[in-house]
Amino acid sequence: MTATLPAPRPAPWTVPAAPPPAPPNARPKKPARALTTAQYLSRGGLLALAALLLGVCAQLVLVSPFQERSAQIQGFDALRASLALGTAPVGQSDMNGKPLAPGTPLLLLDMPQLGLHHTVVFEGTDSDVLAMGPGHRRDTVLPGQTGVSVLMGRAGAYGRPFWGLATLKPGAQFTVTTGQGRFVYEVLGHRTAGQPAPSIPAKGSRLVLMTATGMPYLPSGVIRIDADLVSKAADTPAPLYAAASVPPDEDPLAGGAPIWWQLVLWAQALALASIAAIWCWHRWGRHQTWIVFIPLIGAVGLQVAEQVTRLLPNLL
Amino acid sequence: MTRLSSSSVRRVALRLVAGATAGALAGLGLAAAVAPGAAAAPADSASSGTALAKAPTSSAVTVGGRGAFASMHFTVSQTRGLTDQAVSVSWTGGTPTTFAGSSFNTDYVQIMQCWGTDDGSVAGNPGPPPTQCEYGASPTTDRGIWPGNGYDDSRHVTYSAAPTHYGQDKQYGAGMPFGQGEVPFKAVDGESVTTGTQNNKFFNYSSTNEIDFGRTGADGTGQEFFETQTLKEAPQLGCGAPVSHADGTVTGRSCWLVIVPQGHLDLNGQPYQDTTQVNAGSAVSSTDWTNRIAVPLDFNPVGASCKIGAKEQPTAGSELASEAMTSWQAKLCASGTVYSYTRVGDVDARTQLAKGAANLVFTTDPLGGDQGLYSMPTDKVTYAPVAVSGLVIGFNIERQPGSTATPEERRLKGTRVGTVKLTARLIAKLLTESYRNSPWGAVRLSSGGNPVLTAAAGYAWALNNPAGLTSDPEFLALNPEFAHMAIAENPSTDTDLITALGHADTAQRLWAYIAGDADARAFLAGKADPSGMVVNPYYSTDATKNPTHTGFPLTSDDFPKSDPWSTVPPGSDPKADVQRMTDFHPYVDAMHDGAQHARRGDQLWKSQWDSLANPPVWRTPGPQMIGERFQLVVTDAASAARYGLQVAALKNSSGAFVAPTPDSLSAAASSTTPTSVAGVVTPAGSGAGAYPLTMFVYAAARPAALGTADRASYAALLRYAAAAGQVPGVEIGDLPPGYAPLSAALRAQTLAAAQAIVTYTGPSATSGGSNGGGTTGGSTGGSTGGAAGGGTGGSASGGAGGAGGINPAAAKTPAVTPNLIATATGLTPADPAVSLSWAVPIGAALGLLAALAAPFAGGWRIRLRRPAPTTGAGR
Repeated sequence: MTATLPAPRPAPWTVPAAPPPAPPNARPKKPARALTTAQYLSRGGLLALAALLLGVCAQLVLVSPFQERSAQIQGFDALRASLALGTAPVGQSDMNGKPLAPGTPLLLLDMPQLGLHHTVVFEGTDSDVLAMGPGHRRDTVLPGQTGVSVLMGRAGAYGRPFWGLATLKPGAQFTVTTGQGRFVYEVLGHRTAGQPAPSIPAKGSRLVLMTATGMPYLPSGVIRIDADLVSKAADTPAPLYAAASVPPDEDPLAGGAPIWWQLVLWAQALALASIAAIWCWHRWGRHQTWIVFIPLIGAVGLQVAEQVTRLLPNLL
Repeated sequence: MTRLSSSSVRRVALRLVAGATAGALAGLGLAAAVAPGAAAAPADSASSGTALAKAPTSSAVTVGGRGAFASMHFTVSQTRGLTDQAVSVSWTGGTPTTFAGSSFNTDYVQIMQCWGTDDGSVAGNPGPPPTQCEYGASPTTDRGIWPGNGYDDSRHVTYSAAPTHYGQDKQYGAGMPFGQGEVPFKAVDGESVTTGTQNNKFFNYSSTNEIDFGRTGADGTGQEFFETQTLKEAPQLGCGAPVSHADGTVTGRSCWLVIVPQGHLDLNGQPYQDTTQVNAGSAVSSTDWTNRIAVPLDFNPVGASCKIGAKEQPTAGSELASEAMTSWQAKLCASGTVYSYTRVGDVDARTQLAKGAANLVFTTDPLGGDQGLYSMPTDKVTYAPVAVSGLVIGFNIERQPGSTATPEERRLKGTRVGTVKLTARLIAKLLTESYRNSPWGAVRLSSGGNPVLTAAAGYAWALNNPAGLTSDPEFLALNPEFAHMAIAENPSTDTDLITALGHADTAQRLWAYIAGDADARAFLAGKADPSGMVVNPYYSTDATKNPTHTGFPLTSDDFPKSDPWSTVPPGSDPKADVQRMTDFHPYVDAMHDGAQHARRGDQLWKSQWDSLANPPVWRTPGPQMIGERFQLVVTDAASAARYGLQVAALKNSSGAFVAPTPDSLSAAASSTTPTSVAGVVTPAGSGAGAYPLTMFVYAAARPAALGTADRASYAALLRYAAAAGQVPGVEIGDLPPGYAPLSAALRAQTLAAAQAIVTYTGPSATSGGSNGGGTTGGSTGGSTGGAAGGGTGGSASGGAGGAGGINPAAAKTPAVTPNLIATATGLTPADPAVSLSWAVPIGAALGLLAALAAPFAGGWRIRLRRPAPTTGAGR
């Protein structure tokens, strides 16, 4: 991928599992080379730290695309059904008048220029939602309606759906499918901080696509792509939220708020699993330990890593 | 590497597969346990409406009880033409209620409202099933002291296939632990509530109209005032929903008033044994329900008289006209015109008119008295009297005999006080927050061996004042029956009058009544009354005594809460927020609301600090305790009549105490004093039988500002108001109770005004049409722009609006903010600061560093070719 991910050969983030134990007496090959307690602990600590940090990076770089893919497949299935039933959301509230929950599959985005085909866009723009795919800012109208709607997507991790947004040429067309029909947008251009936005026609429908600029995983700013609706606009229901009323963790480049109990409990689970692995390494056998604890620590480590990466900027 | 034989390879492979399966299963389980995403929980929003409908009647019905209650006869004061109002339910022939401390024990009456058709369960007395009754929402569970025990005043029943006790049910509760169940409530739309009925989505203790405890006095009689709710107050009952008939008439859907008497004998005929609490169980249990007495209630149709989209003729003004306009409007809809009515203060109404609003306004005083608010119009303003009403002091007081009470007085415990006499000085004491307990907490009882009252800084004046009205010697001299009562004197009872927010001629008239009394005037100027009570200095008319250094003006047209006292009330959580006078004595929105609150006995003072709420708030504890209600309210005669409020007799200028009745209002209206404007008079109120706060309501219009069609339309309204609209009654179109009909002379004046309006030709007859139109358009902009700034709006849009004048709407609706966010217009905002932008590379680098350093920490030996543990057992 890039220079920043020096992935070690074996599945890197699962390494923490087994290794901390020293092999001092496991194989009686070298009994003379017994480590002092300090050595043992410091090496174990460093290895654990390395495994944790590299594991988090590896989750972000290697595993997250698959998680996004999985969410996309599930979202597509759900959205396909609701589109067929005619129950897909057409406003900021659902059929029962309740505000859409963040993470509700909202619409399909087809942007062949970026290789996006039937990409599901979800409601909400916090880092949890953007881990599933592009998100729709909740205080804006739906695409296809009169007004301004904003879609945000990641440029690096989680399948980086909006990677290369800046390469969209003015005039490029892409399609959005919502519960109100199919809408064709034409790109006007892109802009970054300080540049003026193109004016909006009185009854026009503007779509703003946002993602991070800079190197992958190293966001430095926000780039915005403006696109105007070229097909006919649909009915616009009354907005449920005032403009700029979303919580701060749904703003561009905002990190998610830590969910401490989840983070702490998963970290504890990881520590317990690691201790169990060390114990098994010495008392059971290396093969067995590898076989049993790689999946276990892998699963737990994935949860820890997700809890950590959700704190990172949401457009990362 | 290891050397392996083929068999060991197989063994290893087997172990590998088994271990991987086990591990994968564990991992999967863990992953599945982590449900992604947390859905937002949107809150349901409930809406409630307040109805302004119409009035009471003479369609009284008397029904008898059955079985053990055969000797009881119940009279419902009105059963036809109902709206949201109070009806009296009185009874005779009962057994006196017995009590268990503050709780009821035996022999009381429960009353509720129900929807539906006869369920055929009682042959001689058609009535609804218990599942369709609004009942069971008492505050028992929220209150430390309440007469009930959570069964008799709720829908909780105990199942029994063969009931032997009241409160058992043959159907509900079956299969539940210990047979504990609830009688469901079924709303008129078919939706049912089966659990949590005590505080359900349809009604709770602050919205229900049920009467859980109606007491029977020592003489076997009792009386309760029951609020009949229309579909606006209780959509779950749907009473008054318009029903169209084949002949084109529209009636309101009828409902039921159900009375469930409770006795002292159990279902098995044996007397109740438990004398410590209520025995009877839920009134809606199948056992109690056998005694129910149902009375059909016919409602006036709600909101159906006027066709949607019909031509609308706006009127606005004094609340005194509200009840009458509501009645007339419904009748006049048949003519095709909707006379809409908006309650605004008299001053605002006059300002609207002076600034050229193209409508009819209701006011008591003529234009001209409001300095500086507007300039007098140069064209003629036509005044037409439409109603005689009055400002009243309504009350809802239940007798609470104290320790010194005589046996006769004790027997009246819990019954309602019927008459109260008040003087101008007593009203002044109440309105000026001068009673000791009105600035609640300013004077406290010091703890210690010998309790002593100590006043907060600046409140020494209150030390010698009575705690409240009912301990004021002046009041007791006039109302001796209060001498032996023990009434909790606090902001929710007798220390203040409930008043409506806003400016109105009614308030001005009340201050004028006070100013007209020499004693009251002297009291307000700072002179102590005979018992030594002094006025709250913040209301002193003497500027030298008033801490604000300005004397309180007796020409006020509102009821200010001038006292800046604020405190955390004594005895409450010290972390609680402070309360101010507007918290101790909250305003109500309108006099109508005040009357409704007083009837229901709602405590307005939010006296409970709820530290568990988020954020913690002051809460009202809900309705006042049954038998201990005490409400005093300033309201209008029609609202008081609608809610059956008792009204105080006031001392008039001849020295007599006169209660507001149609007769006393008419007597006051018979002699008048002129005002600055010819044709507008005020009641002199001097006769012996004249009620002193009688007030006229005038309809005022400027014909020059109206188009021809508007003038004809308003004239039709005035002609109706002068004729059929003055017939007292409760049907649609009648003059609602509380008003006095206009005298013949005043009716003639109204008809003449109507004629003058419709035949108006304008100052310049030739170009009158276009001139009038232009004024109309301009005034439209001004009036809808609101009271403030209306003038500029009017002048600005005067030319453009020349054509219409019919539809004043939306001249200046605030521009709808386009649904844009900062990111979409103007300059693109600066990039947000990203605190964690380097997190990934730095984390990766640190991880690598740690991985490389680990072997050294463990004592590096060159002979090891692998990073010690990582790949150790790889294959």
